[in-house]
Amino acid sequence: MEQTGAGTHVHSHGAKGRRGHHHTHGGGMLAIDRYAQQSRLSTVSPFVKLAFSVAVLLLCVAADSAAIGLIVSVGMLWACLVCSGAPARYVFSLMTIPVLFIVLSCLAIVFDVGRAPLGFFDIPLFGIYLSATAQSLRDALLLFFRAYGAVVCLYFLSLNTPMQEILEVLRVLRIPRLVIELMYLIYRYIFLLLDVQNRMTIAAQSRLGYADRHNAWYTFTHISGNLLASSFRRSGACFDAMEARCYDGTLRFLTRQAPFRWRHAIVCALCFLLLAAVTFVLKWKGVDLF
Amino acid sequence: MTQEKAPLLSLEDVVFSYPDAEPALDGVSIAIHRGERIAVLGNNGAGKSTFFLVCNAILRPQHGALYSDGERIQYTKKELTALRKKVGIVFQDADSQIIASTVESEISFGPMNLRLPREEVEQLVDEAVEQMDLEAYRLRPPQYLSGGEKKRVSIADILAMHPEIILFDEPTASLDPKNTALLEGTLERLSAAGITLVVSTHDVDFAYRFATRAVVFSAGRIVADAAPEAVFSDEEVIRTAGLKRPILFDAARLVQRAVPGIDQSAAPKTLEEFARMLQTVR
Repeated sequence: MEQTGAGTHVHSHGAKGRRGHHHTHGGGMLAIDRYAQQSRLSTVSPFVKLAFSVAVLLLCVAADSAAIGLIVSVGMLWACLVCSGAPARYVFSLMTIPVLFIVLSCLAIVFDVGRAPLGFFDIPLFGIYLSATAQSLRDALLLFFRAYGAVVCLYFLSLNTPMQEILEVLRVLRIPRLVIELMYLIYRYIFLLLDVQNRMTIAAQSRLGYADRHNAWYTFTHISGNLLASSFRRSGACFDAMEARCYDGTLRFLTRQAPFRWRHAIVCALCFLLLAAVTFVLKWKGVDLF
Repeated sequence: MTQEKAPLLSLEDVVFSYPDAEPALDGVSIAIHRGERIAVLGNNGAGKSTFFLVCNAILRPQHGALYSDGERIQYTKKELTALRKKVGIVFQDADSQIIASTVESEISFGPMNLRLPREEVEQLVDEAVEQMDLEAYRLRPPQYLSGGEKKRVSIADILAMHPEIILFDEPTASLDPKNTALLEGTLERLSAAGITLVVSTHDVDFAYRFATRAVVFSAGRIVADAAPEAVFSDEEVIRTAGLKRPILFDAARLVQRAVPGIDQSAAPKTLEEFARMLQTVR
């Protein structure tokens, strides 16, 4: 069971669970990381998980087929629900985040610019037309499923592999050290920033800082300004603490990495081969969603 | 305790200022010897935290010098690593100190940075986990522990590096009474294990019980450095540093003044000692 640190936490964990993942804790990590620790796949080597996620992702992108995109999305979503320790509601709320972004970019593809109204839906605009044709709609939907499938693959990886293990794998794969350090430090400091912002917002609320719209804007701008100064101070303190423990520019942790097991690798390979076979058949028969 | 040997750590006329500010340390000299239990007192902004950061060579003074076992620190990379292994800091805010996502890997951060072989790191982590009674939390994310548990993790962090001195920056500041009592027990154990302790605190009652030596900071200078009884008897120091006296200290004085025949030299630091002093009347 979770407990809330006396004095250091402004927010209770109960409130967090109810309101979603964007409420963070004192110096906390993302809830996604906590769920990754509890994943049922924690005994599977991170190399296997990374290889599997990336292989499926590449297949999903390369297949160039909405049907495969859909199959990958649904399959990986199911895998996330079954394997990760996260509650279903949390997984679904995570999955809705990228939808907005992808839909926005797909809209740009749906509409072509032309001199004549050629599509099934046309918006006249200063003598030209923004028209959605059957073809452009098909392109956009194809893009949507491909992109979404790819994102769900990455979610599968991060819901089942703690950040530290991913870093270990990247290190073994000879990704430049600087990139890895930056990844981790950004990852960590984002939460410091959110935490500081969270505390300031609560303090402002208790002084009626958000009583009406005018107040809210005023408070918002001031909090944003202070945020920089106070997170700067806080990150300074964190850096001091790291240096005090002999940090010299390379993050090193003892990780308990699950050993490689053929059993896991074979199951992953079979899943991948099945998907590849389905892709091949669909492509061969020329079947797609539309 | 013979003190013919060079002090474990010493500062000589150290001046340190942050950019565009009055000096945070203004000519500080102090020698810390093996086995001491030092309480560092003084109000906020008196220079206690800066003093700690200088002791660990996180901050490099603009003037003055830092000595480790009599050797002047030249701030080379090798020396810094050795110094930071020898002198650990437990920071006031455990949240700023904790960086990893499981208790175990958090504790391993220091030993890993010392580039020890994996087996040795594992052993050091095991020891620290056992010393701070964290076995049940090993694989939990430290960010989600309670305040007292986080404090224990942040102490284990340092213990895993086998330091000779541990500097505690206001360790009781955010702890409830139960965890404060636990922490005092921990400090006793560490001291018994031969680790030199330097603890900054605002809790004078705790300082009086705990310390063999009290160092008082005021406006970046050390205004007193003596046995706690002597420091708290000094009205001038109490006034300039804005301290208050421990309740048992005052109580003992009142009783000694009011009751003739009582042991006038007694300086009781705990209730038991106080009771024993009262028994000297008969």
